[in-house]
Amino acid sequence: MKSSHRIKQLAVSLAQPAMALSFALAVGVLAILVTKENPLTVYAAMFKGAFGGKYYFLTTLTRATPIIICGLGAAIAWSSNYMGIGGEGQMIVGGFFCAIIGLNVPGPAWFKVICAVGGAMVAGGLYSLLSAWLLDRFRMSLAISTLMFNYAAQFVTMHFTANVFQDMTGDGKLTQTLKLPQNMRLNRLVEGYSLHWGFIVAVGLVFLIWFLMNRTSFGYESRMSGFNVNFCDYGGISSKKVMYGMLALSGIICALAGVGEVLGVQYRYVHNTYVSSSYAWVGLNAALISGYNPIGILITSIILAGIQTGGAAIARSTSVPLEISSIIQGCITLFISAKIMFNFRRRRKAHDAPDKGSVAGSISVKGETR
Amino acid sequence: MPNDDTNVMLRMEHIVKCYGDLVANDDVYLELHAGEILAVIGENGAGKTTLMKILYGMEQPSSGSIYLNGKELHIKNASQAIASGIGMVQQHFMLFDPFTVAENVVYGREPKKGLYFDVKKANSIIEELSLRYDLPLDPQEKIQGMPVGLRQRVEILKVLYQNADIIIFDEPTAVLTPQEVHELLGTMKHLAASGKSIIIITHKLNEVMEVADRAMVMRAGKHIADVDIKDTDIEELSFMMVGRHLVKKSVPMITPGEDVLRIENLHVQGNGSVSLIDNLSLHVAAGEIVGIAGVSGNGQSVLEKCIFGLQKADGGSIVVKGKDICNHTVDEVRSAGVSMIPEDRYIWGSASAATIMETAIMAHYKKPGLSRKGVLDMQALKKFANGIVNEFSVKTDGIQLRTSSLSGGNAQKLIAAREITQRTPLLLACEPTRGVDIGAMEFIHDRLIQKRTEGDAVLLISSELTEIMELSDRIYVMYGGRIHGEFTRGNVREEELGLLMVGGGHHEKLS
Repeated sequence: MKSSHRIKQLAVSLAQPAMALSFALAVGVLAILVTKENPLTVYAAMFKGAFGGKYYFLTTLTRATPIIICGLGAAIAWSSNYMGIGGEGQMIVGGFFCAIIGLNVPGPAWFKVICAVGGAMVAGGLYSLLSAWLLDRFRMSLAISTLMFNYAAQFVTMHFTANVFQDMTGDGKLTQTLKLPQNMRLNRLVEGYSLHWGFIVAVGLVFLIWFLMNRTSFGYESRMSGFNVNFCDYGGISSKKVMYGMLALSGIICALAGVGEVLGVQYRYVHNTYVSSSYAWVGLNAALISGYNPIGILITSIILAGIQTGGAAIARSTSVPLEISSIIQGCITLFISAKIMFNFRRRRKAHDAPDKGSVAGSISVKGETR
Repeated sequence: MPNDDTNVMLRMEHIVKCYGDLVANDDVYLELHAGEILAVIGENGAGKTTLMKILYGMEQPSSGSIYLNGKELHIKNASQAIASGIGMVQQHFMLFDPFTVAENVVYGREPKKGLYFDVKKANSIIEELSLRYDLPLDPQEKIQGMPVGLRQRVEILKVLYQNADIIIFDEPTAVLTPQEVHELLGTMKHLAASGKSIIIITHKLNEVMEVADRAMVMRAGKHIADVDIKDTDIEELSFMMVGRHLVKKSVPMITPGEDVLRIENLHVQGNGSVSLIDNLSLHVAAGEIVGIAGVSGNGQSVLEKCIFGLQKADGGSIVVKGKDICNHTVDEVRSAGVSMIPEDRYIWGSASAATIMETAIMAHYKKPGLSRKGVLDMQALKKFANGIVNEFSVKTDGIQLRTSSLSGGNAQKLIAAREITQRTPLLLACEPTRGVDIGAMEFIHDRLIQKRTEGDAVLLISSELTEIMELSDRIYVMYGGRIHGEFTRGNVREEELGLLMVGGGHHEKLS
């Protein structure tokens, strides 16, 4: 009885992402038909370009690394019902501070790495707390403040990169800092391929966050605050503390995504790379698709990264443009957000119902959830 | 008195309204004559508001019919009600603050000159209306900064401007000062004298006696009686309203110990001009159930939130076991030895999307044995949750299911179980059995008595008079944010309490 319930629960939680993915692939078929290619061959090529062979698979995993980390950062904030969309800015702040601290702090390499990573985490956390404070103090919409701060972060760091920390050794065409010395960089996991230790850290984070969310009192408190803030306050949990804690943590984690890119891929801060690859947004997608489940985020992030690398592969080998993968990703977002809107309306309805008199209200609440 | 049958203006027959299993209106009959003031009275949840919502088109009856001037009427929405000459003065005003009185009143059906809004005409119409019905108001004044009484007057003008012949007032005096109440009652009489028919929904019987021609009494969704005000008095009305169902529960006699809770001169202002809690003092001793009787909305829920740290007090002290916890956080209040069964199990007491276990461990999970250094011991928590589910016979297929899968009574039992097992010296039980079945009610009552007999203090806040009478060793009556009377067990009749609850009778003090 108990195990059959669990299987049913698992099936339900898998059904929605699977449906969104297949709907999106179906829309992709239409788009491919417009380009007069055979959808089956294109999808086969796409799959091969994402997961077929060591090179492609490891490239996909490299790309998945920041997506997984940003997905985790988004998931912990969203699961406690604080719907911030500032992952991009947090990642930028993290990457930028990691690079400039790493380049400018004196001392042995291990000390520089600790300072760079620690400084990036602190910067990401404080940066995220700013939105939290605006929400707490001025009731400013978290979605709007975090979105706007994304632009602020992008262009403030651009200013400092271009005018203070610009790499003058090359042709100066790219807005980027100097490269970190060899001994500060993350090792490659497989020699000759781009995959670095950051991926292992990301997988470690998956389990760490899972533990935090499911096995600690902090996780319990934030989950309850996501379900019902009143219940939380009544139980003696300060919902304000939960908000500050969760948003700070979310900023710290997303900053780590930037750290991973700096120490593992580019070895410097390069303006606009995180934005153009939209890691944070794909990460948010992964979090939404998997219902904030960390292990789900690990899997979906790899699939979404695969769609991106696969899309790039087919653009090289067929006449199907790179945008096809954007279309598929966009459709996944669309179908998933339809589900979120549906849940949101249902929850609002259930919340409004008690106004009709508490007894009648309680009955309609029950009716809603059955 | 316009009381002959030819004068019947509105008739509602066999009105039934069900919400799921709950019957909010059960075969209700209402008759309204031209030019009379009819008071619809009853306790909270008696079905008055539902009946009026049906009349105003905000709810559709499950069955039954409405006749206006002899013709059957199907009212599908509020605008249709307005078109048929039925208007409602809402309990919560719906006015645009930055606009003038005239602009607010004509909103939606403005006088026009060509394509433009004719401000002059609007002002003159409002001036004429306010003179005719003796509702002094300046049409060009802005709503912003107006006192509540005047805002209500604007609402009344709105209804008059819509040409309503039948005007419904939903709890109109709840937010008014005594002076404003006096003026409003005068206005109602004046309106009735000029031919309007008025329905007033209320549970304040002294106002009914002052203003109404007839009263229709409702109880538990049923039509109980129609009475002429000149043939009755407050005692009879409150008796009909509250009903009589006296089942005595045997409560072992024990001598109360020292005071566990002592509240002195508590004051809560709130945002309006009426204080929510006005210089209130009370005490609860160990081994005592103290009941606070009152119609809801008289400050009880403010009081319980103040004690528990969920609302700020503006003055006074709340002392638990010798420690002043006034304006402390919930966490501090809980640690000082207070637990609470909250008045609404879905808004405060649980999270419907959480599992039963998650709802059950709230405020327990940090205790030694259940978690260590912030890491939850899942096995211990499961054992704990299963334990209280079994002990309080909460019917469920498993604690891993969502809280929303529980029936109302079982959810309430779960919350009661969680709070009683805190084993705190003081328990606040707020509407502990609202909307639950008889079985769950008996069960929770027995547990409250058991807790008290074990030497703990229980403060029971309930609008259910029977519950108060049955369980309490001592009873306070709360009305308008004040203590309006105090009695010991067995020294008061239900009718007497009912009377005090609605503001009637004299302020009595325990001798």
